[in-house]
Amino acid sequence: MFTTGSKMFLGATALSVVATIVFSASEGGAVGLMGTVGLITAVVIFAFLAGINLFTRDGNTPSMQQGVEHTSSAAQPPVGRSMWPLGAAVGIGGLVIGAISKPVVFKVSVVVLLAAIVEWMVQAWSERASADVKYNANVRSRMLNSLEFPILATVGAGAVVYSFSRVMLSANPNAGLWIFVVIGALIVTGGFLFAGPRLTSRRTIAAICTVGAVALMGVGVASAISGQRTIHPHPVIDDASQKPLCLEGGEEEVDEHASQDVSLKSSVVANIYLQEDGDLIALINGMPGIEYHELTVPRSAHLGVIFHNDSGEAQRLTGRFGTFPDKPEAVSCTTAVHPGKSAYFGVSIPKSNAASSTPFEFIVPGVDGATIKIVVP
Amino acid sequence: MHALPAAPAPAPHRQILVGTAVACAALAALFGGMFALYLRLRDQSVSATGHWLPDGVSVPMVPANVMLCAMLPIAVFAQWAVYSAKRGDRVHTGVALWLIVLLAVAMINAQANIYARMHVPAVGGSFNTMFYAITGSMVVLFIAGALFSAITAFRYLGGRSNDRELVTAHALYWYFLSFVFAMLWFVIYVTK
Repeated sequence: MFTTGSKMFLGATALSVVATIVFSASEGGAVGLMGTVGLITAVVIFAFLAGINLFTRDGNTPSMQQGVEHTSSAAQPPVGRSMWPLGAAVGIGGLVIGAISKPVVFKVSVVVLLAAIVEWMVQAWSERASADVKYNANVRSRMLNSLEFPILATVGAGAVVYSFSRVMLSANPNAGLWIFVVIGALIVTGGFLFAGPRLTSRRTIAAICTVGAVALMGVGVASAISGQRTIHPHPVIDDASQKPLCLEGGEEEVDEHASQDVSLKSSVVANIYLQEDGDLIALINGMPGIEYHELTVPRSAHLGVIFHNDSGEAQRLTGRFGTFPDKPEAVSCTTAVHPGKSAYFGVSIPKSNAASSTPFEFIVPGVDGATIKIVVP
Repeated sequence: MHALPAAPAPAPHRQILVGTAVACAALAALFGGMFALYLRLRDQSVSATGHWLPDGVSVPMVPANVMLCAMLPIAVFAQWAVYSAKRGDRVHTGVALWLIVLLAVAMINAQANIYARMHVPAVGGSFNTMFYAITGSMVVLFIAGALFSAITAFRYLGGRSNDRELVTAHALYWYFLSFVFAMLWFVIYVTK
């Protein structure tokens, strides 16, 4: 009447019942409550499993059943190995981790879980498509390969690009050059060997490529965890920190690789020339041939001038636009302009009715007398 | 043209049913452990402070009771699916399975309504942690149940109408959920 498996579970159930009664009678308080609930749970589980075992008769097949040698569990071929249960488990774990960490982990886990479920279902279906294992595998490939290969290629390429970007962002900028050189050389050498007449086996090629990809992603993950190196922003001439440079002259990092030519510009009111003798003059558009040492500019105007350096050394044009109460002096300048070159200088006259305590003027720092007065009516 | 022979008929070894039963047993152990810990923490809190629920938190009983009541038709529909599948009635099997999916979604919606009305922060004490751990696990089981019902419906209506064991295993899973939710309802929502 009772099968072997059900006897075991019935015994476990009876033992759990006894244990529950004894424990609940001997132990009180919060611990007793918790233990009793736990033991009652064990009773329910063992009783449930005993019932299932009785219902399925331990999965036994009657020996007198016709064709039992073909239909029994033992006669069935084993189910094929599959990685998708593992993928689904990883997806479920990722869901839990993503729910309390980062949304991107949760979203990726949802995709992984759905993909694993679809793959798992199709594989399970294909294994029962026919009695031919090769045919079943082919059916599965025909159904899913057209979907798998593009996705895997995209994900693989994305992983390689992302890993490489993490490596380059964390590596020393001077080492970046050599990293490119070494990796490029390895790829070229590998391609040469793979394409050579003494062809390496496909398995070896696949193994080498896999190891390389895993190594790259491993280094990429390590680089991402360690964080990117500190990248200092390149200074710009409009920064407040460049004000001393505008007033005192000289050349610094901000002048490196600065543009030395000016394309067509609108709103240019004058061309300012630093001549060989150190004189600074302005040629106002529409007034040819007249050298000015004074420009009249409306208040709040936004206009531009082009600075030409005809002297023998690099110079910059600095605009001093007044000092008003509770504010520092408004100063801006061009980058250093090399001899014979030019630079555009955008000018904004502050909108204020207060009197400035410093003059409005264009100057060339370090060149005495190189001044053009700015009149703001 | 040579036709490949069909795959052998699966043996009546009830893999899915037994697998579902083992999974249900494991989940019962999980919930039993969580209930035991919940009751212990509740007992300690009541002994120390005289109360268990955080200040200002009240349990909305209407959606909780509706959820419990909804488990009854779910169990009936699950058995309806088994009854229809055994008689090869595809229409009734499909209707029963999709009604279960609908009710599972309604259960998740009711649980979300409880969350929204209780305004319990996820971090803030033993009750908060245990409340979300237990009811959140239940929501996950409801989602899994909805997927189980949908897959069962697809497989059965998609041509595997002989695969009645899956429908039986599906019913077993929902009976298990009904039992666990009844326990949850009593422990979390009634005893508070």
